[in-house]
Amino acid sequence: MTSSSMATASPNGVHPTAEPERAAGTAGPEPILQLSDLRAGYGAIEVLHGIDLMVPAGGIFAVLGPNGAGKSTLLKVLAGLHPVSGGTIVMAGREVNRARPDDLARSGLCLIPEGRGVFANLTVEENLRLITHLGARPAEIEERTYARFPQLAVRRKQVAGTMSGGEQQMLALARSVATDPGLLLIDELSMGLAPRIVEMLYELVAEIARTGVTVIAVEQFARTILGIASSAVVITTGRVVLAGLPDEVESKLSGLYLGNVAD
Amino acid sequence: MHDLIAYTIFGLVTASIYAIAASGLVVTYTTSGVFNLAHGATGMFGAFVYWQLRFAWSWPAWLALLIVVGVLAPLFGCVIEKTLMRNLADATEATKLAVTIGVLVALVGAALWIWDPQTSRPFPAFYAGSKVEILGVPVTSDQLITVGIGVLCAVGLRVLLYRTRIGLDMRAVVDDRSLVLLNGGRPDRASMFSWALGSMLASLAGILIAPYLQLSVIPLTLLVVNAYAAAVIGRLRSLSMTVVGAVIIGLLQSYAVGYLPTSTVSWLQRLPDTIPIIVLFIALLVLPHQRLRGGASRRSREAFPLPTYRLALIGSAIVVVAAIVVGPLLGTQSLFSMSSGLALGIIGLSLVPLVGYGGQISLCQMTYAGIGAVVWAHATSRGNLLGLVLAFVVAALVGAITALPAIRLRGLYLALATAALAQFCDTFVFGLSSVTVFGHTIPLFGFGSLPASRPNFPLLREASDRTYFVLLAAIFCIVGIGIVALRRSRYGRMLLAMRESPAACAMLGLRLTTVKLGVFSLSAGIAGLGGALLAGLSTQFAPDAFSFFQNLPLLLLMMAGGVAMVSGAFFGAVALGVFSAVGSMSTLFNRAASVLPGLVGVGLGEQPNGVVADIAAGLAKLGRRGARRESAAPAVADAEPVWEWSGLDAPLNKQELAILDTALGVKAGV
Repeated sequence: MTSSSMATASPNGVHPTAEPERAAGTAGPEPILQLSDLRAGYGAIEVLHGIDLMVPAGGIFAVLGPNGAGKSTLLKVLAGLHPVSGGTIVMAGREVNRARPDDLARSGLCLIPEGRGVFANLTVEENLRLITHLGARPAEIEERTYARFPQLAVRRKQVAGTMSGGEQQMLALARSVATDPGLLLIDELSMGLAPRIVEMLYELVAEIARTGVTVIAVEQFARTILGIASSAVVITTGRVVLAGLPDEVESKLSGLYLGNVAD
Repeated sequence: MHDLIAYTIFGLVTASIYAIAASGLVVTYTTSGVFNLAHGATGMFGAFVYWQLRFAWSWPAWLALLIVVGVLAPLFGCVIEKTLMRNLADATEATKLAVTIGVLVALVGAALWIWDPQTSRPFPAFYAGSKVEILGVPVTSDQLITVGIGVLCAVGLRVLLYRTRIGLDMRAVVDDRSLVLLNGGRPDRASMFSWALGSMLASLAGILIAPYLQLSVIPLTLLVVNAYAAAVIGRLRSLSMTVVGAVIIGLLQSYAVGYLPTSTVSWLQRLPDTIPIIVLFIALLVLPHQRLRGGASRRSREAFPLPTYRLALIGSAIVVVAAIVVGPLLGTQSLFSMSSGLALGIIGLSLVPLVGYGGQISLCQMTYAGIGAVVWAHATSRGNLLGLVLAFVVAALVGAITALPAIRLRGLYLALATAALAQFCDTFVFGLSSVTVFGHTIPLFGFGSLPASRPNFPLLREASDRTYFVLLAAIFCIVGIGIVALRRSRYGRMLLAMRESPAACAMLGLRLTTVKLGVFSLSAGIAGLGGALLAGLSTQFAPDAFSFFQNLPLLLLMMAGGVAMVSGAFFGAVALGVFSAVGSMSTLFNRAASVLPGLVGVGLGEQPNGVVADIAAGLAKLGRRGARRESAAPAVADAEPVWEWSGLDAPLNKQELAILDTALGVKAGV
């Protein structure tokens, strides 16, 4: 059932359709992602205890929560890297519970995994050349990318693993943008980076979102992401405990998530 | 000068072949993380199939070559990747190696089965006969062709990996397999391609080298050790350094043949053959290795329960009683087979602390056993039990001495170093007629075999075959209980910790070197004891009983039983005995039995914990199901945790602090 739904996937997949310049924050007519009672775990231990979530198309959707809440697992499940043990994932109108990660990627979903989502032993150029399933010529992809991220053009022959953490994350962002995604999942972009770099990276993310890409960003540190998000949820111990506009979430967050440090 | 050029040219010819074989190894290793010990066996099989097509069925050379290298070899590589290697991503290094050893043993068994080793098979070189002169030295056209193919392969691989899309994919898969998936790439396709390519290169190397050696199974299979050396010089990554390594080894070997005074100094005769092995050992030791890796250690699929004394004692009693009961029922040949299985089982027990607990892979236990056997044969001709102690001590000492240089190696590199050691003893030491230590000359296998007596235990002097069978069972059990005690001791926990995370152990202040050295000597000692007992069984023994190749079925069957469990070693012992007993029944069975250990090893990819652990887990599951039905206890899996951490990004609140204080036994507010 599910595999056939992948086989008949529209060529566009989850790519943004008519209105590319959708204003951030306003929900489209159809949610790009709908989770109902989503469950997943590791062996006998269930980590996600029935997540219900509706992500509107366009804008940045922040997923917050403390260590071990199941945020990364959620993203892995969405990207097809981790099996679903119950519930359904509907992406752009199609159920994708058992879709393979490469098929999802080809239909417009992109995950930047935790840590550095780059091929550390390949050069910047080679990292970008790996994207060929779009049918675009590698040179074309490089040209587009360097126009947007000029800093990477300088380092095109450099092995990615030797760049700074911020530059690596920038490459990861650049590579994901080059895949022309409709839905971009970002896992802890801020990990191990200085606040100034994180802010710069999230500015880039906001820019990407303005072109019509829906971004789901998982973060442990709430402040920066809530500044640019259009809506947010908080997950603790595998359950959604709070959902709403960023301001509402932020006001309740200190009590719920940061313990008793209310600034 | 003329000689030097001639030797250089010949060295370059062998170097080309080593380079082809070694780059195949490097390509598969870098893309799949599996070091293919069966690479040589693949080449050997390719050479045999080529011989069959070209000479037995008289096909034209180009067609035979095309079919073998262009069709059958890549097909074989694809099948191996798809059925075996793909599932090994989260297995331990030992399991990965064991699966490739399984393929090796199965291929060797199959080749011996199909092509009777007694028949001689001439394998003329390509277009032999025509010659050209280079710098006054006549060079045959086949030599030129070989060097040409070598250069072509090296350049072609370089272009493939760095200039083509599939090459980029292959390198990306090495870096991060799941990230390739997230990019919409197909990592499986890249892996499969690399295995097909590796297999092609192996068979090409096999076909090219066959004219220079004889077309025989074991030498062709083990020739790959020479390629290991080249690959290790390339640090299993760099193709260009691998080619450099191949050239070094080829030239050294050729010059050794030409310039060592082998006709006057008899012990030097076998040295040229061992040069690649020596180079491999030195390369392993000299090349820089990565530091202890920190960070989270990945959980592997292999897991073993803590053994209990009660179970060990009950099991031992059953084994000894079974030996007493079964012994009289067996015929002479079967009794011998089962006894040798038990003796090999004792050698196999040496793997339990080393591989099972400590995670150190050794491919030279049979060498230590051989040393134990030689010591036993020389120490006593009347079965004095002190001879067994001596066999243990000397083997343990040799184990410690050989482990000393290899101690900083881990995982695959350690396995290769031990393989080199076993090969060295095999081709050099055990071939010497005698060694002189401190003025005392110890004859080795100069005359083909050595006589050995059986140990004389009190009340059991000059044991008959049946008594010896029971004795072996009893000794197996005693050693087994000792190993259970070791596992339950502090030292056992240290070994396990070392396997799980060497970095964490170092942080805890454990002296890894001492722990490793200890377990290596203990294990070598046990192997030496087993070797002495094995020698006593057949009263005459030859070095091939302790050859490098004998290590492979032993390791496989021990791992198939479960290498971290004494019961697993017992399973291995029985399986070895049964295979040998079945093999002695008829030629057909003998050939089939030589394939079996290979198939068992291949099965390890699916069941890495071994048979015994799986049976035990199955029984435990059944037991739990029964218990649940009786008590109808409520399921706890879904129960709510009593309290939750907020995580480290926030200070704990008062309630959490109170819980933590109680848990740690700290007075509140301290």
